[in-house]
Amino acid sequence: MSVGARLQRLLVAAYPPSFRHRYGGELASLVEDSGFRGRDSVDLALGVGRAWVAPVFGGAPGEQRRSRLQTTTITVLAAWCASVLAAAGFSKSVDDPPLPGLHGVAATAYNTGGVVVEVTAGAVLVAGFVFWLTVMIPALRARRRDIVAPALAPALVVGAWLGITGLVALFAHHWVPGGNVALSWPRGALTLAVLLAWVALTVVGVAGCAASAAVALRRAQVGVTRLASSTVVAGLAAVGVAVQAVASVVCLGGLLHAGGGLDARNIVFSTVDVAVFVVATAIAAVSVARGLSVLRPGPPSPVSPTT
Amino acid sequence: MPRVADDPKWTDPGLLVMGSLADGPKHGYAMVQDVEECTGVRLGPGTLYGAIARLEARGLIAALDSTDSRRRPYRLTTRGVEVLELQLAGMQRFAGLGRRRLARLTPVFGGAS
Repeated sequence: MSVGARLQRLLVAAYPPSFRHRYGGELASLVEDSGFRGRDSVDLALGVGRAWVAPVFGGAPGEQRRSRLQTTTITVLAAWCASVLAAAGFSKSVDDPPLPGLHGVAATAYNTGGVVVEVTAGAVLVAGFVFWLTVMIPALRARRRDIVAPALAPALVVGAWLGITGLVALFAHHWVPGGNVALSWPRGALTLAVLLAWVALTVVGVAGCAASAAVALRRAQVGVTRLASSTVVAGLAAVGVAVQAVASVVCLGGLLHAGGGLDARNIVFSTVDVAVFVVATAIAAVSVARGLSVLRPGPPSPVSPTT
Repeated sequence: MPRVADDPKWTDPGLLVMGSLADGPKHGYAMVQDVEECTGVRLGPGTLYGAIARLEARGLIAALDSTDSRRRPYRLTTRGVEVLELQLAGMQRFAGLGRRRLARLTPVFGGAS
C-alpha cells in the first residue's frame, strides 16, 4: 500500500466515532475506488475537521437527539479531564513551592479556582458513579462484556496509578534529599526521569479513563432521559471549567503584574495550563449549548447541520 | 471565459448531491462520477460524505437497504424532492432574470466579447 493510500486510510480513521460508525465503510470504499489524489487527502482532512467541530447525527429524530446528548456527555467529560490535569499542572507551577508573589488578587483567584476544582470534581465523581451504576448493572445482567470491560477500566487505571504514585513517593522519600521532590526537581537525572515518567503515566491514565468511559457509554446506547441528566451535570462541569479558566488567567496575570517570583519554566508551564483551561472551556461550552438545545421542550425535529 | 476561484458559485455540494439523486438512487462513487460529468465539479470524499450526512440528518435523502454496506445507495425522499424543486425553481427564476438584465446591459458595453 502506498504512503498516500495509508494517509487516506488514517484520515478516514480520524473521523469521529459516530460518523465512522455510519459512513466509515462507504467513505473507505469511495477512497479506494477513486485511487490516491493529493487533493482528496486535503479534502478528507478538512472533512475530518468539520465532522469534529460541527458533528451531524443521522437516523430518526429521536436517535439524532440521543446521539447529540451522548456526544455532549463524552465531550465535556474529556474537556473536564483535561482541565483537571491542567489544574494539577498550574498548582505545581505556582504553589509547589508557593511563589513569593502569590498573595492578594492572585492568591484569591488561585484559591477560588482550587475550591471550584474540588467542588466540581466531587459533583462529577458522585454523579458519574450513579450514572456508571445505571450502565453497569444492566450490562452485568445482560453479560455484556463489551460494555463491562471498558466501564471497569477507569477503576483499574486509578488503582494502578495510586500504586505507582505510592512507589514514586517511596522513591522520593529514600532518594531525594529532604524527601521533597518539588524542592529538589530537577536535581539528578534519575529523579527527573522518574517524575517525567509519572507525569506521562498520569496524563495517559486520565486520557485512558475518559476514552474507556466514552467507549462504554457508546456501546451501552443509554436512553435520552438518562443522557439528559448527564447533560445537565455536564453543564455544571462546564461552568466549573470556565471558572477555573478565569481564575487561572487572573492568578497568572496577578503574578506577572507583581513580578511574583515566576521564572521562565513556571511561565511556560502555567501558560500552557491556562491555554488548556481556555480551550477546554470553549469546547465544553459549545458542546453543552448544543446538547441543551435539543433538550428544549417541543416536537422533535431533525438536528440542523449548523447546530 | 474560464472560471476563477473567487467567482461566485452555485455548486453547493448538497445541491449537487440532490441533483445527482434526482436521476435515481446512487452510491458515493457513482455520485462523484455523475456530478463531475454533468457539472465539471469533482466532489472530494470528505465534502461528499459531509453533504450526505447533513442531507440525511435533515431527512432530504435516505439510504436504501443494501447487502454491501460499503456501497450503500441513497435516494431522494419526498421532502428532498420538494426542496430540490423549490431550489431549482428559484435558480431558474434567478437565471432568467439575470439573462434578461444582461441582455439589456450588453449594448451599453458594446456587445458580449
